[in-house]
Amino acid sequence: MNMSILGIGSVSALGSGVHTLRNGLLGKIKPNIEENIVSTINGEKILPVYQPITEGLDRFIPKRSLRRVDQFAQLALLSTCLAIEDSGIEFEDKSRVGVVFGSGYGPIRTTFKFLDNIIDDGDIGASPTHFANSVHNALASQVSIFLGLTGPCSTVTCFEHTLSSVLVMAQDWLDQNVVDYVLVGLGDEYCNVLGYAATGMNSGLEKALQPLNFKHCTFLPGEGHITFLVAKDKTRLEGYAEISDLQIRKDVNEVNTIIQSNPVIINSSGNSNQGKTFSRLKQNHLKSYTNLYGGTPTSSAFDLAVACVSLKDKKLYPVPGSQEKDAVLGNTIICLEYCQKDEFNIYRLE
Amino acid sequence: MKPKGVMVTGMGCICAAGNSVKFAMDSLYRTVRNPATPKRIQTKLEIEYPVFEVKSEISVSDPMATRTSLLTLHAVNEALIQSNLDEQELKKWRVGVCIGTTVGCTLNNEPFYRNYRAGKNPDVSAIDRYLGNNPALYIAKKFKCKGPTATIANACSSGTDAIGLAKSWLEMDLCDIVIAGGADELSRITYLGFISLLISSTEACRPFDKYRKGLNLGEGAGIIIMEKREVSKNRNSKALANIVGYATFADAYHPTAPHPEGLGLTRAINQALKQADIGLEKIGFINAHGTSTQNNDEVEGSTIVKLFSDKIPTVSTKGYTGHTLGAAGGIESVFTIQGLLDQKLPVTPGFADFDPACGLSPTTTNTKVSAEFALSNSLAFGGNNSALIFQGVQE
Repeated sequence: MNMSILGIGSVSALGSGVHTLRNGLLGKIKPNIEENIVSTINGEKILPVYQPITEGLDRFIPKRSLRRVDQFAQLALLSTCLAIEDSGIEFEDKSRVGVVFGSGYGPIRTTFKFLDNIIDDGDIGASPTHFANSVHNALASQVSIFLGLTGPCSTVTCFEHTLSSVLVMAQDWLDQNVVDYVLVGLGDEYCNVLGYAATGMNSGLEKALQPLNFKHCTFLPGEGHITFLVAKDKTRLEGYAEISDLQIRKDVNEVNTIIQSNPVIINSSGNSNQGKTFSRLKQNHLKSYTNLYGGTPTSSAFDLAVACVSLKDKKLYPVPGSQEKDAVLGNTIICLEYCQKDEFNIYRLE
Repeated sequence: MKPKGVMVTGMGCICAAGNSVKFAMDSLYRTVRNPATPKRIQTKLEIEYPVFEVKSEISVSDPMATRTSLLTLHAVNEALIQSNLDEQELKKWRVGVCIGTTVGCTLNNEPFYRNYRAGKNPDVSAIDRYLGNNPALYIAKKFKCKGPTATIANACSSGTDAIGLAKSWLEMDLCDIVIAGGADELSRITYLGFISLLISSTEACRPFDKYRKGLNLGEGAGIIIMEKREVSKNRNSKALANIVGYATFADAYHPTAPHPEGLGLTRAINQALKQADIGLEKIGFINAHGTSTQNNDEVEGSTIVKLFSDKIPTVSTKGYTGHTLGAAGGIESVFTIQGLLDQKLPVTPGFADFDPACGLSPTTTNTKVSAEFALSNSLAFGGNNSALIFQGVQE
């Protein structure tokens, strides 16, 4: 793999724009965590949720044209516009820009809104707008429509395999020379049903997400969307970093050989089942930043963004909330994404 | 000429036309089709919209599996047998899984949600079941596959795009073998959704016909086993076809309607031809998306005529299967490959009256073809346009 990340558009609990991610790493701002009341079998429970702060889409797209666009697609549009702005690139040929998006749950709030229509108004009450917006590829399509991008457009939904798949697809389009740039976007939204599921599936959720506490479940859900503008390696000097290698589904023993003494970011979202696999990593300097943006099936994309910012700043940021100090970062950083028990995807960034 | 592309060594299919490739093709060549009132979907609508349900038995069972996963597994099993791949053999190779779906990746469990809304605290096992039934992950787990795994959710082009991505995985040497295709079950949610969009027909669908009134939904799965040439040689597996071209492009026009001039489809077909390194004249027949909606058939038909001619043999098989959404590209790839093997196309059921707006007369009899290459199109919500080119293999 040889793909340069030229621009990043981050919309998370830290705010909108890659600068908010950097400010979160610097400890200058705290994530927006809101308490959600979730009804459970044991009564009501308070679930803290990382909620995105979205502002600025009207800088790029007039509000009135967004009437039929749901919130999740607006999140994706915002992160995409921010990524393009961040890169400073103006597309000369929009037919050579691809869009590939990934999500674990897709537009889940709109999916349930469509069900609400049917439950409240009967079968005749099904909303065509909600139905059209509930399909997983609605986000990528809205982005291609609003920005007039007529390159390839695709959507992947495969939980922990989503990030690797969208990057491979982007690389393929670049290698085949059907595009000059690809907008690679990943995100997930929160809804009360997911909160209900999270409290039902995980006993003893904590009040704070502790990504490096592998023994206890401290998972807290999040919502957000991040988009990378990527191109082939020739332009890497103008951007953040190059993804120089992607290795899919490597056994933890192989991973331990590969990571060696390189700085490593893991996508631990406080899930104790995943923690058993993370605890098998033989590395004393693991970093995790999930407590800045919360846990989603695609939050590993935010880890990539942190890796990019860190490489650009030549600084290995401390784990938020820890007593660590920042350290000088060399030319390489590795992101590890949990796939399944004892397996990781490995992303090497330089 | 040196063979190009990746090899297809196995096919599996389940749909309303039959629960195997053989049975489905037999139905197609006998022009048997059975759209009917949905049995597994109940609604309170006064008007009925026929669907193409899988009535035959699914050969596999798993209490934790969704119907989409079972349809997928059924077709995968058939395809693996033809490829001479069992669990032991699969273990020897890096095997990827790439499946397209629409219903299969959506958390729209209506009974669960109704209970949740009513404050009945439903069992979260419904969510757990959803998480365990992402089609590609389900198959990868079932067969302990260790290669790349992806579920493509591009609405009606999902199956075609899954096969296209799988082709890239093999060419990028990410794996040796891929189980690829599409799968979707009939769902009350999509049934009501398509009715709300006013594109479902109360009659049997009539692709490219002047008096077409919309689509009929269907369900099923179409799976192909793809291998790198050197792997196939090593295993001594028999090629059914080569996949030599694939491309997808966006219209960037409208969330639910194709570009009126077929902008994205034209580019997708041209790019797929370029990848296959062949000219338009080499395409011997086309398996069209042909949904029987006003928009799709007009845009697709006129684009085909503009690019090729009104003489190119073209078939739409939606009249046998219904529109199976994420499965359509998988099932139609199977039909296209079988068409190359048989050098024959079935009737396009429902077509009777030429529509000048489409400009295309699809097959009205079982039609002999002389085709080395064939094209299969898929168009989707969101303005996705995808094209696959298959090359037949000479005995």
